[in-house]
Amino acid sequence: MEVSLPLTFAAGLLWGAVAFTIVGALTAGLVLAERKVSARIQGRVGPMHTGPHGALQTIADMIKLVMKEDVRPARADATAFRLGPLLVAVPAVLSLAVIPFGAPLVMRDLNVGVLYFLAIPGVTVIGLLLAGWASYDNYSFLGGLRSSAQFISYEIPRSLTVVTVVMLAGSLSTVDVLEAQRSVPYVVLLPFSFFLYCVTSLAEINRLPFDMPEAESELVAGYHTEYSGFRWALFFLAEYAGFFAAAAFGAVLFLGGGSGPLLPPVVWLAVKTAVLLFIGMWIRFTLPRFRADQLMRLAWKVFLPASLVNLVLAALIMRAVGS
Amino acid sequence: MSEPQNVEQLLFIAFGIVAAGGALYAVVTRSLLRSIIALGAFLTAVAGEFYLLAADFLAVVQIFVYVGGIVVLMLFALMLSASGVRHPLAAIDRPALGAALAYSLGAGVLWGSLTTELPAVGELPADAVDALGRALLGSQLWSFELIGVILLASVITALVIVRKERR
Repeated sequence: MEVSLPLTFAAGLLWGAVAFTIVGALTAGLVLAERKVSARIQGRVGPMHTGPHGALQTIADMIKLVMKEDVRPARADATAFRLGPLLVAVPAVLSLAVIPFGAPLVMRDLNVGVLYFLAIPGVTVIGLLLAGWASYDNYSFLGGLRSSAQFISYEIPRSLTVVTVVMLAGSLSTVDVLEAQRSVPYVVLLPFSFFLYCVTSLAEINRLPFDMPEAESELVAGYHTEYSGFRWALFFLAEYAGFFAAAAFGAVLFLGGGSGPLLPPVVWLAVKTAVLLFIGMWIRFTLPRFRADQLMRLAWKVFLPASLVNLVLAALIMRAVGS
Repeated sequence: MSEPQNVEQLLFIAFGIVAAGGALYAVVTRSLLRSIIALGAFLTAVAGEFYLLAADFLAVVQIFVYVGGIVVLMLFALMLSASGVRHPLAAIDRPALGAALAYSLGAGVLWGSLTTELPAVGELPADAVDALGRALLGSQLWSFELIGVILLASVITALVIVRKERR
């Protein structure tokens, strides 16, 4: 069969643009939600003036960001400075590809989907390191180094934790993991795994109480201190896409994804993801930030052994119970 | 070469070009940082080739271990050692010897890969990941465990070296 190559690539480009637009809209929604939730927690009202109850505030902010001047420090390494935000934003969007959103929105049932989801954010670290280094600025550099160290440290317990889910489901495909949870969601069978997944995910996506890489009080804004305008917006997009992906993936792995009575799967997945997102925001505005050394000690001396014990215990229990 | 017939073939060629270009740039450039980034591009393109050859697992592991692990580790080491970052690489001692070694090694690999018969393996198993897992923990268990021991030994060695420095 003859395939029209230009047409296929045009379709590919179009889908890429659609994906980025959806993620952009998602980011806008999440930023607004975060500001409203934080306002509620701190007894404020949050943005109120743009649109009804400030609903259009983030849209306005985004327009402002895109129109801003793109400033690059004179001594920055131009190539690395431009490459950094791209290497951060693209993997964040790519990681959404294997999340089974339900009937109309299954993008790719990769038979190693779970592994893919854990692997892709690794590329982000390269972008963070590059951005921090290319800025030629101590705050950025320290932020970049801190974030990569943190990412590498928390990646291990996080992956080990997800292994328990894979063992129970007997497959690396996200769709199979959903199928296996038809009767009982894994949060019931693996409560400790769920807890470990949530905590290590918060660390991996650099959110409070683990946001050392961009601790405002000591590093100004970490690796994106020198960035402005659209490139800065890309970092922001990546951060919220990562937040969303971690929550949606948690809902798929532990909360049974789109399964639920009456409503279509997409709605159920959205509800479960929203709950996890809300918990993430709640934690952000409730707990203080850890110190860098405390953070690393926590990763290597608490979470790594805990995830190993969790893995062995889960294996033993599975063996004892049968299947 | 005939015209590419479908998207897969075209992508395969595109990934091949990126891989070859990245590999070449990695050894040609004098900036260590650019060399590492080019290496990352090369490794990613190879992962793409693996994926197109129906080796999904290998492709993802390639990204996980090499791009997300090794390249990050190299960048990390480079940035912490600092000296190599902002200055071009100093010329190495005895470049002729190094070049001779590298070229003969490259020629050997090329000759080996061109002359070795690669028989078709037939049908892929329906669940390649499953088959791979069973092989690693079944027939290949000894080699799998041995690799683990070697990695453990290297971790301990690294720790010993670091501790010595501190005393």
